[in-house]
Amino acid sequence: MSTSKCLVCTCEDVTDGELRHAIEAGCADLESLKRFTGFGTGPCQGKTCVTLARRLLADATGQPASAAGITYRPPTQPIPLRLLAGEDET
Amino acid sequence: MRLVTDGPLKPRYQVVVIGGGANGLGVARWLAEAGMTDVLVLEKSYLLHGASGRNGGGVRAQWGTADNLVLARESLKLFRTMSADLGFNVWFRQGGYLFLAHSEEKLAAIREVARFHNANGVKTRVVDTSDIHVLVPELNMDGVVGGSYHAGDGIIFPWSVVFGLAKRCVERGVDVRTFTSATGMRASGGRITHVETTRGTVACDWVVNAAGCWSGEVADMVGVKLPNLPVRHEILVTEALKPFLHPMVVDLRNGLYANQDMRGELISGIGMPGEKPGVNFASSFDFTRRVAKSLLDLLPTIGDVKVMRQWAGAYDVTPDGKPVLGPTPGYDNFLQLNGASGHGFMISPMTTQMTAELILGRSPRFDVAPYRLERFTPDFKPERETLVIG
Repeated sequence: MSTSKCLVCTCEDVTDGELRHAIEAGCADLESLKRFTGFGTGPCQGKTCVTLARRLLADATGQPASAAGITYRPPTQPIPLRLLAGEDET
Repeated sequence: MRLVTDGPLKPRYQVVVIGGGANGLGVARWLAEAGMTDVLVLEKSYLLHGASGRNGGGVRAQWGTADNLVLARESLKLFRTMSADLGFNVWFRQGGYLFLAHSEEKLAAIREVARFHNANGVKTRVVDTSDIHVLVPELNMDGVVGGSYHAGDGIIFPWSVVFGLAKRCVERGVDVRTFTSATGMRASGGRITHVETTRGTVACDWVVNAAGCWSGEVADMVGVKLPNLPVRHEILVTEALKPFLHPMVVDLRNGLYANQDMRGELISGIGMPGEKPGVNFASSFDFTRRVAKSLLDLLPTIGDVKVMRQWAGAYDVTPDGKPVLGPTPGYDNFLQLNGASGHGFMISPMTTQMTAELILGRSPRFDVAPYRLERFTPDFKPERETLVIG
């Protein structure tokens, strides 16, 4: 396992070494890589790390960096429960 | 460590498992651990694409019928040791399940269910309002008259369970193929002889249908009709918080459930009346609004907690809320392992072990008769399972 401590996902503290380890284990697509390492599952929901992870995956597997990404889930940014419940923002 | 295999498929396998979730990988895992490693697991997408990657991770023994209860009770025991057994941390946390009653009528029903649990080896307790306040101090007690609590219930991280099973399967020699679909089956003399896949056709002695909400499509490949209907269920996750919510809480008025996972996130879902059958993984704002309102009604102090993500999965629903297991009428070597109606993940340790025992020629731990497809006769009267939640 690579020991590199360079952070790719700063929300969930996932390093490039952990991503490389997951790719070696067979996570050869971005959805698998996300689920095995947890990258992209923190408050930014992948806005800062998906591009980096995609590039790293492309370099490691020879796939084009334009290969399938991840399905972005709503909401587009974290929203407080009380707003979603229809309570006033007071 | 490897989670999947590659290279060309072999021309024949003893067992072909269709579906790479907790059920498909689970049965392959028990077979491999018993020494039968000539097994192919077909996953049509990435691992966790189906319900094993979309469920809330609740695992409980509190069920309303004996047939569900025994599977869930024994599965809980297997989940408890799963991290050690698989050599992979599955993040199991035994915080219990708390069911809330807001009426005397519901509480009376809970008392009856608790007696049934106690008679069947599940130590469910009927709890009063002061017990509940101690279990979850943040809970809105308005209208709560009591509830039931089973300390042995808990939560698990479904993603790790599937990865742990895949790892064990591959290290024992099972062929685990992602992005490989079963496209057809060939039958002869009352047996399935071949499975056609997107990577070629393989011969086999056994086929297991562990395709979850797609199991009806798989059965249909050889003209077998399952009564299972896929029904969408939605769920959301919030930002992570300091641990405060010990048990999984279920509101029996509306089917809301909420727990705090090992990452600190709150995970919550709720039943949506009028959901039409069909495989539909789209997210709806109707769900978001309904779950947010209901969750704040239950836990009024968390209004500023932010929702990070919501998604949908499908329950594979049978008329009686029990799974479909065992051989198929007309095809003795075609085993069903589906139709678990929203609790397929939590009962998978036991249902997969029983399926593996059938293949290995052993007597399953529990008789599969009550779960077989034959039960759905034209005059079938389902026993009512009252505790399907969400």
